[in-house]
Amino acid sequence: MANGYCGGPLIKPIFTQGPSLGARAIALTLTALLVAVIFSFTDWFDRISDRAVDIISPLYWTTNSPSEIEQWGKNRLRDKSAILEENESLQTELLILRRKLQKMASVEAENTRLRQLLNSVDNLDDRVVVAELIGVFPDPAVHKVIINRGKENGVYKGQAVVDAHGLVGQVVRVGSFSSEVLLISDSSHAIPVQIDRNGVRLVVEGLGSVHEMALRHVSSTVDVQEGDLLVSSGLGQRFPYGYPVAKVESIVQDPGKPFLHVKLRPMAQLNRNRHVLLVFEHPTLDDLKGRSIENSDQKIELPSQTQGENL
Amino acid sequence: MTGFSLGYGGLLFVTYLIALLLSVFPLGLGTLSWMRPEFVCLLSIYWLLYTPHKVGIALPWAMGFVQDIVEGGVWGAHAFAMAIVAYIVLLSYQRLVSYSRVQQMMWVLILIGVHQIFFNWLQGLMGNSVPVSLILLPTIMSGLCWPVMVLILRRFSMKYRPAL
Repeated sequence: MANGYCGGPLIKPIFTQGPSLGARAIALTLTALLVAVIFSFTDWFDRISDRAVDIISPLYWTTNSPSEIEQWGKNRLRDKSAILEENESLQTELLILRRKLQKMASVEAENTRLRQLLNSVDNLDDRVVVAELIGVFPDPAVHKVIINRGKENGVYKGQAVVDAHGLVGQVVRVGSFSSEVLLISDSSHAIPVQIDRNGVRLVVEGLGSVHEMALRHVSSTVDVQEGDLLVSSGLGQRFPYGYPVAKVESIVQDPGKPFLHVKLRPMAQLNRNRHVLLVFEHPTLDDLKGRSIENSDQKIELPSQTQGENL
Repeated sequence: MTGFSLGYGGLLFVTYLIALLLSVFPLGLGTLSWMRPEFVCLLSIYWLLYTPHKVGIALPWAMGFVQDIVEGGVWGAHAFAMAIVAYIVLLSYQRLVSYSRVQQMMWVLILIGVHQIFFNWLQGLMGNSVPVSLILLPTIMSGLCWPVMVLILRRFSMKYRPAL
């Protein structure tokens, strides 16, 4: 019994070459564990994971193509009258928005003048680039999406992403032609905000649900009301000031708890939008190209380095 | 059955590619995405069960890594869970293949459960909270998918089974 057979299957010695099954299992699990720990707690893999975005985006693009084709087909087969109708309603909407913009121009000018009186910095208009969603990460515990803009389009790490209704998230990984956006609803995400009504500064955190967010550490004396709009305060040095983040839906005061329990509804349509806007606050590649071509990459890195930790 | 044959390596490649595509197929951020079966793990269990002489621990482990990279979670989380599952399967495949379909399904359910627990534990390192339903739902869906997957894959892979 001693020679040849040592507790394994009697039928055929399958794993006779190399280390035993147990040794292999231990080696591989430990390697995986090590990689996971390094990935979670250090930034050693950041370079490679940026590259990975480019490699994996074709997979997402492929799985997304059926809906893309469906959309295309729908567009082809649409009634002319329906298109005309839509066109008309869009024209009307445009007219209304143009009127608002006229007023906005004078308000903005006034704002700038007042800011100059206060010796503070001008509120510059942010430049935006439209990006399309090409994939949603499959793990429901992780709220991340892939968009079809990357380093080549001037996207940088930490860049804010908004949609028509509010803040969507921030860019966390940048590939050459695609990048990953962490949504504000992710449970690892938090964003500094202020109440639009009175300027009280707070922090909104994601809960891992696209319909619900929460306010962190709101003491019961803070002036918060149902229906309050929370806008980004820009204090984290990551998100630009003034984009709507969430609306207060309900406030529960439990006398036994030190803080108020405030439920919020995100303003952005986190699980519906197909197009998002990338907001450029810092000098972009195009801006820098005029100045120095060789150092452009380095300079682009600068803003993200000066920013603090991922909030 | 068919005149055209991919060969064993080709079959592995195609099936894993399909599993990866299925595992990133867009289901949105709603409840539907909570019910996605663990295709890559299921496929690895299948190959380990039916061709244990060709697949060791390393392949499922490597595919776990690929899945980690593709799904954008913590790198190594799937690989870690997959290595453990592969080890269990390789220790017990002789018993598992001889089981009836239903019994086998129950075993696969447990294996996927083990996979989910280890995977979500590592995923939690990144600070993503994981509700219990997130472990249970994919596990049950994977278990239900198992018989279907076996039925489909057996048509292509019967000839690669070992002559026991």
